Amino acid sequence: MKLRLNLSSAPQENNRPFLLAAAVAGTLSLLALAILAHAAVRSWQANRSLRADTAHWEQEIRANRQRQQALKIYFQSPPARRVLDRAAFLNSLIGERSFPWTKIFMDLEQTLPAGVRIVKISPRLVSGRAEVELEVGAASDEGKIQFLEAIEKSKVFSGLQVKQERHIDQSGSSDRVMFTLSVWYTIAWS
Amino acid sequence: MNRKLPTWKKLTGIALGLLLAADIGLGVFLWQSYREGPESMSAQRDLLATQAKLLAADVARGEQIRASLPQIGDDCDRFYRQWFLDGASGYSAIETDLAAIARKAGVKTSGFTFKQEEVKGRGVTQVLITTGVDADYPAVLEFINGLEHSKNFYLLGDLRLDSVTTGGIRLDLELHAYFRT
Repeated sequence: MKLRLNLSSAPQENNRPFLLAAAVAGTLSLLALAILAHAAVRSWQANRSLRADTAHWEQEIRANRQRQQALKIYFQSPPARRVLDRAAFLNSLIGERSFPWTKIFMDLEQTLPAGVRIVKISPRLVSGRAEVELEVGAASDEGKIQFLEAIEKSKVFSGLQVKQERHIDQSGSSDRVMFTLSVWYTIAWS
Repeated sequence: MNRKLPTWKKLTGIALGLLLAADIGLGVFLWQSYREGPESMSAQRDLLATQAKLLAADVARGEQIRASLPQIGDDCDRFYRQWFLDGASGYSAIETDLAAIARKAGVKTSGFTFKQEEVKGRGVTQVLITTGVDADYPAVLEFINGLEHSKNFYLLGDLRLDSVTTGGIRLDLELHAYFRT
């Protein structure tokens, strides 16, 4: 007869639960590691490209700021300043000279109703546009209103502002109303 | 009871611990990356790119102006010589020219008054000329047109018109001429 006796000093331990738990935990950790590593690599690659681009543009800006500073110093130098001031002065004169006096007379002629006359014309160039101040005399209020309406409807005049108006009671004058206005005049630059 | 863990179990535990630590480390890295936000980094990059391009265009324009500055200087000199009268003979030239324009337009001038003033730092003297002309409307227009297209550089200032008893128009005008100094 055979007897099965365990004669070891410590009882045999059941390792199955530990192995199972370790296997499950290990598998899950490995799976998570793979997923996270993949995501981390992709994120790092994407950000690396962005960081490189950012560094590139920062470098460009630094280089251009230096060039801009050098240009600023050059343009503030007396010889450059002299040429630029002279050119600006001449351009302002040329701009003023290009005001088409004959044409504005012809355009005004078309807007003047009977009994209304231009007394004074003062043009002024503002940022390439001509602001014209007109002093006008009218034989009647109706004539004055007709003139203002004609200016408002005109294609070459805009931004009408009546600045002053006074009635004349002198018997010798043909004008009964004198008024001052400003308008923008459209210059057809050729 | 004094039970010691077997070595293989310890090693297994350490390996699992290391795996977990790696997972946590990667998680933290990803969290930080997302917190910085690729969108905000991308927006920052785009903003810098726009700034850099605008600055580059500004610099290119400045360099273009610097390169053309000698030519601009020459053009200014030529303009001065061509359009502005020599101060030594300016008045006679103006008088002759204005009389010719008036004659051609058929207007009668009341004479001219001159007022000279130096324009500081510009190399020119400005001469204010005031005059009055009497004529009919087409002749006045012809006179203005003549001034506009004169070979001399005149700037017309204020024009004042008045009707006269003879039926024509009285035009008082101010114009500027320039002499080289």
